[in-house]
Amino acid sequence: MSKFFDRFLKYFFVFLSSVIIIGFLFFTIRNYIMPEVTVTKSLENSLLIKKDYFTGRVVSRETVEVKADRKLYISEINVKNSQIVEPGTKIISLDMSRQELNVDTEASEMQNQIKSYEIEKLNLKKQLDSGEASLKKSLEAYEKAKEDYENTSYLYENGVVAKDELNGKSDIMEDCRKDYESEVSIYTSETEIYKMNLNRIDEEIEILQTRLHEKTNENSENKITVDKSGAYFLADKVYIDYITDKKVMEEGETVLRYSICNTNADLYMEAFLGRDVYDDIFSNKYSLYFWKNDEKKKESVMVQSVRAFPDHNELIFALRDELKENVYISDSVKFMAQSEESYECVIDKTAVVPIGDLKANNTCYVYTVLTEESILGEINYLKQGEYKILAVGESTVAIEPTQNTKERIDKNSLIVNYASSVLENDMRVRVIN
Amino acid sequence: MKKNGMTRYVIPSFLGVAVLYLVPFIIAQRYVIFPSGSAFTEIFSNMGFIISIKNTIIFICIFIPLAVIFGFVTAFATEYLNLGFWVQAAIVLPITVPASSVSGFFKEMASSKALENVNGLLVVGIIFLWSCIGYTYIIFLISLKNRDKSIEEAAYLDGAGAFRTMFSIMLPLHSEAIVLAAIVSTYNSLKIFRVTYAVFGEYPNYRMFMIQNFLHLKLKELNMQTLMAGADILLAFVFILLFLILKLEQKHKRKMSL
Amino acid sequence: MKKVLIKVFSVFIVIIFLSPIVYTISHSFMDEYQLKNNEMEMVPEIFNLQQYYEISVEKNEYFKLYTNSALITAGVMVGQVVVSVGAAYYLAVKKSRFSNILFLVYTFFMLLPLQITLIPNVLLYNAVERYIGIKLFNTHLAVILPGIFNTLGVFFLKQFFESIPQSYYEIANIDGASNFDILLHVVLPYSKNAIAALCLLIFIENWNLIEQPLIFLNDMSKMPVSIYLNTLYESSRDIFYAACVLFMFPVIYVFTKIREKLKTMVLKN
Repeated sequence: MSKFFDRFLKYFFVFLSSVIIIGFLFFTIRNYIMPEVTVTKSLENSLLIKKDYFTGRVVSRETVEVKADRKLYISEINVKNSQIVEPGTKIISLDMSRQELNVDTEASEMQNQIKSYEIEKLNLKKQLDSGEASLKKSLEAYEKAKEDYENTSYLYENGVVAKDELNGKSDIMEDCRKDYESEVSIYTSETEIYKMNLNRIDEEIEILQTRLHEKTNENSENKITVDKSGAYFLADKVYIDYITDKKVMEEGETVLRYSICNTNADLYMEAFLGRDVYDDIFSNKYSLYFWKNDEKKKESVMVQSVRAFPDHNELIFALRDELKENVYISDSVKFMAQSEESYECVIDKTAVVPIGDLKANNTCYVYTVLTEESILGEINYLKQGEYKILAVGESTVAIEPTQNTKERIDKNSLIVNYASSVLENDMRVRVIN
Repeated sequence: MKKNGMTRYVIPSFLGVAVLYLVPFIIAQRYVIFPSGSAFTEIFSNMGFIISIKNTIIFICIFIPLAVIFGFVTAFATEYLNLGFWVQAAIVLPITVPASSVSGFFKEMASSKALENVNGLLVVGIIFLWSCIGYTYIIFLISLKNRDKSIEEAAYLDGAGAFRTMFSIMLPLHSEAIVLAAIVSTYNSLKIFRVTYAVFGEYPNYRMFMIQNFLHLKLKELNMQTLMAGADILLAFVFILLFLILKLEQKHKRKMSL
Repeated sequence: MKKVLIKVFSVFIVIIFLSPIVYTISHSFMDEYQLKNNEMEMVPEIFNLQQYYEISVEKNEYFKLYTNSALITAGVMVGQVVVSVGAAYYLAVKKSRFSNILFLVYTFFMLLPLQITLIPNVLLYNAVERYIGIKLFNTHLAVILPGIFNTLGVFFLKQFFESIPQSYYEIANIDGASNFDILLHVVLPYSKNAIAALCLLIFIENWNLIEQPLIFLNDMSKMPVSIYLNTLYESSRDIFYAACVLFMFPVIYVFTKIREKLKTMVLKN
């Protein structure tokens, strides 16, 4: 037990002596290992030229919208939004196995209607024919009765039959003749009615047929015409404005929206901005410029209209005619909104260590150098302050303290220039000029 | 033995002591003498001085005997109950520890809620005991180890009870050690300033304000009259003490040689 | 039963006496958070060496003060031993009226509280500054000089030198040795232990110096650690305990090393 303690004590003493040695070592070399910083001062109430950049695209106003004319089952979507496709490129493929045949319900209804009319016509004809048949039968009966009378009358003349019989036969003949005549009148009126119905039905059929023809003509332009394998493609070079992403399309839904790529199209520019970014840029006085990617010259531009969506705003910019020559549909363009504003506290961009991107409304750290008297003389150390970036300029940044920061930067505080994330709060530094 | 050239060995020490201590002190007496005694009245009317003297006397009267007694008790216990090495180490170690190092513990203790109403002098006294029992302990331990056991055994055989043995026989036997322990404790009690400073700072509570604090503050402001007056009073006290010790030693020598 | 009581009693004593030291050591391993609440806790929640790291790597001005303490202590130790050996030799060997009076004076000064002995020092320094022009205040020398001529060493060594049997002297005399030779070859080797003990006492005394620096030194950078610990408690308590432990360390270390020697030496006395 005592030996254990002695050993423990020895280790503890060795530990303490090593701490002392390390301490002395660091004490002698401390001046050489302190990080060096340069300092700068802040500018108060200075103007900041705030530049905000965002991107947009050139789009055309002439767009063609293709809707589904029936329920579609899509197996493959081969293009993306904002893509330019060459003529003949497959756009979508339909799943032919599940796809119903070209049955237009309205048209098929019409056709069914026509069919039923035809059937009605047949029925009517049958009716007429049966009327005709009975007429013929009564005619035959009369003819027979007449022949019978004539035979009987010959016989009477030759003194074979009695007058009674001849009268009887003549009565029969008379009956048959009346029968036949009524039949004839019935048949005539029936024919009339039949003719009327027939006309009527024919008229209806004609109406339906014209309508059917119209319909077919109407749909033939935007109908998804697919080839045998179910692929759908267009015959022009187009810019896909919108392509659906659903695999099952109901009738009437937009499948595709495209613009044909030619310079005669009515072009304009659009950009999407988040709500807060939009408010930030456009709430002050600003001037707006745009340029294409590789061009240096900036052209000024005005906002034509703004459409608000729940989480972003869509801005539409008008393109002046002379500029339309230089841009092509679906080109991406860069915008810059420049505004000048006076801020209370402006410091160099290099003095700021941003959390995230260096843009407005993010927070950043700024380090001030404070001096403290210690037993070794003056020691400079850093104090870290958290600030909110108000605006970003060319080479300067406007900041304001957040509520976490107790220190305020005034025009006399020394701020570390070329700050990096190596710096920490309370770190001791050496200041060089 | 050649005793002539001996002087040279003492020259540096003597010079140093003279220049650093003796001469200035004697010269400084003029601050006390020339105002012709008003310095003394002045100092006695200084409330701080009175308080500090009172505190110091209370402290000495209570805690020096306590230090001696506790030292004796623990040495006695160690010897008779054969307490092990750990106990000895534990009691002796505090005398080496610098007062500043353990001031953390005592500061926490002094500022804790349990000791809020306790007299500050008691706290200082406890700290004093903690750091000084080691000395008296060693003294008594040595004395106990070197004692003559036969007398005790004789007394025990004669039928004397434990208490009687202790009081009548042991204490007189170790009287030398007791005196030495008292002297050492007094010497250490004069160092109480360190403890007070380490735990309570330069301006302690008035209850703990002892004469050293008083002198220290006066020295800082170089108020020579009060300072020298106080110093002279203390000097007189030490002088008396020294005188007593010498007398005791002489008496002891005479007693021993009988 | 008696044994159990004894054990309990000894444990009790050990706990009482060692608790401040153990408390300091255990606190030196605590991290900053635990130090912030001012309660008395004995055991660190998380054992970490943060304090030691900080004090040695980051906030290591402590070591300048450590050097100060070491400098003062070493200076006083060396000086006092050298001076005291000579004086004790003289006082032990030469028995004249003068030496007796001198010894009395020395004893007298030894018993004086520090504040009183500091007064003549201050006056002297003032006078030196005024007449000779050397500024002694705020230098380490101002603290070391009185320490060197502290009379404790003379007192201690004189008692010891007196216990050297006369026969040694006789033999040396017969051999025709000079006083210096006697000192060097007879007295010193004999009193190695005593001198070591004196060194230990001086070390303990001066490592713990508080009154003199308070009076003589003004700059914090010149102070020894014993004073600095007081300000450290207020200013940066997060390294205070490690500083305390590092400060205690040499004293305890030396003490454990020569504990045995001391015991035998004291017993012999």
